[in-house]
Amino acid sequence: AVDSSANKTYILSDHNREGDSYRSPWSNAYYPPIKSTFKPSRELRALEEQANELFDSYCQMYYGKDAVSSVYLWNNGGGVNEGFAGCFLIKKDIDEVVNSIPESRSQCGYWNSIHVVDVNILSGGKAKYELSTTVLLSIDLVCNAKDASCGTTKVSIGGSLTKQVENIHSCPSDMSHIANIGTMIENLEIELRSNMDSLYIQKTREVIDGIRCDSGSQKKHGLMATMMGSGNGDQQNEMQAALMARFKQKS
Amino acid sequence: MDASSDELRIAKHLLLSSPPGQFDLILQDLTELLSLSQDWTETTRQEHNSRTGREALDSFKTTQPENDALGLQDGMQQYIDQFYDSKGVTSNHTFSSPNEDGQVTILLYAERIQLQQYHAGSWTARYFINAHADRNTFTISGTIVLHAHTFENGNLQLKSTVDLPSVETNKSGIFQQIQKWDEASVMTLRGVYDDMPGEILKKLRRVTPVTRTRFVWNVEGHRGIRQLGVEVQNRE
Repeated sequence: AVDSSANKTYILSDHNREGDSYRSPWSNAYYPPIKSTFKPSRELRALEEQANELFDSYCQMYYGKDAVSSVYLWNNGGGVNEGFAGCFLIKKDIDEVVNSIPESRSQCGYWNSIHVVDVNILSGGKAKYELSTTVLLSIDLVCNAKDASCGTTKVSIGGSLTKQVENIHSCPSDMSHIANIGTMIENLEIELRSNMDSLYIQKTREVIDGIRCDSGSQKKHGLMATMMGSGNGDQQNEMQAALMARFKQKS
Repeated sequence: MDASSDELRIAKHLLLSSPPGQFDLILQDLTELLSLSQDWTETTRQEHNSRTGREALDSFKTTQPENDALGLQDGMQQYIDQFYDSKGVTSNHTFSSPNEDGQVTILLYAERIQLQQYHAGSWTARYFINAHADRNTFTISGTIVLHAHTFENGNLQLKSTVDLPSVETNKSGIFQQIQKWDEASVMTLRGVYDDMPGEILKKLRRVTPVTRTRFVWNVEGHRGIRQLGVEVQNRE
């Protein structure tokens, strides 16, 4: 949605909703306007303003200027010094025009990050941060083949990853909470992005390769396939070549 | 109490959308929430098997000689034995009887279900073959649907759909064309996988910012940068 007073977009979620209205993190006002007391305290609102400013910069640097971010904080029954909770949200959409140029590819989809953090203040100027992150991913590709007789392929990838981490950091000031939470979020997003590709998306490659073999290659190397389980053909060939080289050395 | 029509509609959608090999797992979860009749369940199962092509695995649907009007059954079996017979793969094919236009449909279905290793996949290909009047020239077209699911500490599905355009060939060229199509669909996917970390995912989220360094979580620093940017823009 668009906050007309601040001329900025913000994300709609259950964490900034009251009835059918949503609070903008930029102006702290509800749209459509309602009389609501469900807002962060003045002290927490100051922290929320700075969090939105900083998270907006983070979002632009990693996701581009067309991505939208929002941070919503809420009190846990007391002031900032008694702990608080919040959510840090990112929404990035892609919508490329589909064309029919051979060997071209168009992409649509989204990346949504939902980070929910609980901050408990400990003694000795420290705080415990419990972060739960969910990444929702959707990629829709239209791939035009080089050879028109092979048709156009539509590939849809969709899924989610969730991870929780907790850390204890020193917090000499209220602003250090934002730096501590931001660093945890950045580290977790980097890890999830890496896992999304290397563990999950590439795993589907192994699944497909396990169904149809190339020119009977799995049958020729049947023993290696049995020994190596469901690894992909390239890994099997490399390891087989290495083993054959060792056998030759020994003989 | 029987499930309402809305509940049945949603349940049917969930079952028809189930990943390979998981129809019964989803059905088990649904029966804990809703009262589903045996007739409704079996009708939905048949629709699911028909849509996904899994019906080819039903033993009673094994090709009957009278459906092999084009004499392609042996060639199709050899093709499956060569490419879809790896360890853990269950595969089969069926030939339809010719329809009113004389078109024969070959359904090829293969699946590899490894739920204990948290993954499953299926390959469904339908080839539509029309014989010309000379009985030596054929027009073939078809579709290929690949479906993969991995769900260890996460949940991700990939679905690839190819609409194969009509091609004319002689009888000996039919399986060459089928093999060409199958390999092209795999190569297209491999191109996607190769471009995934660098190009495709990067459009959504960069690995590192343009500065190639981690973000500095300091609000004053970023305010200064933003102010500089505004001043530069105003001067221009």
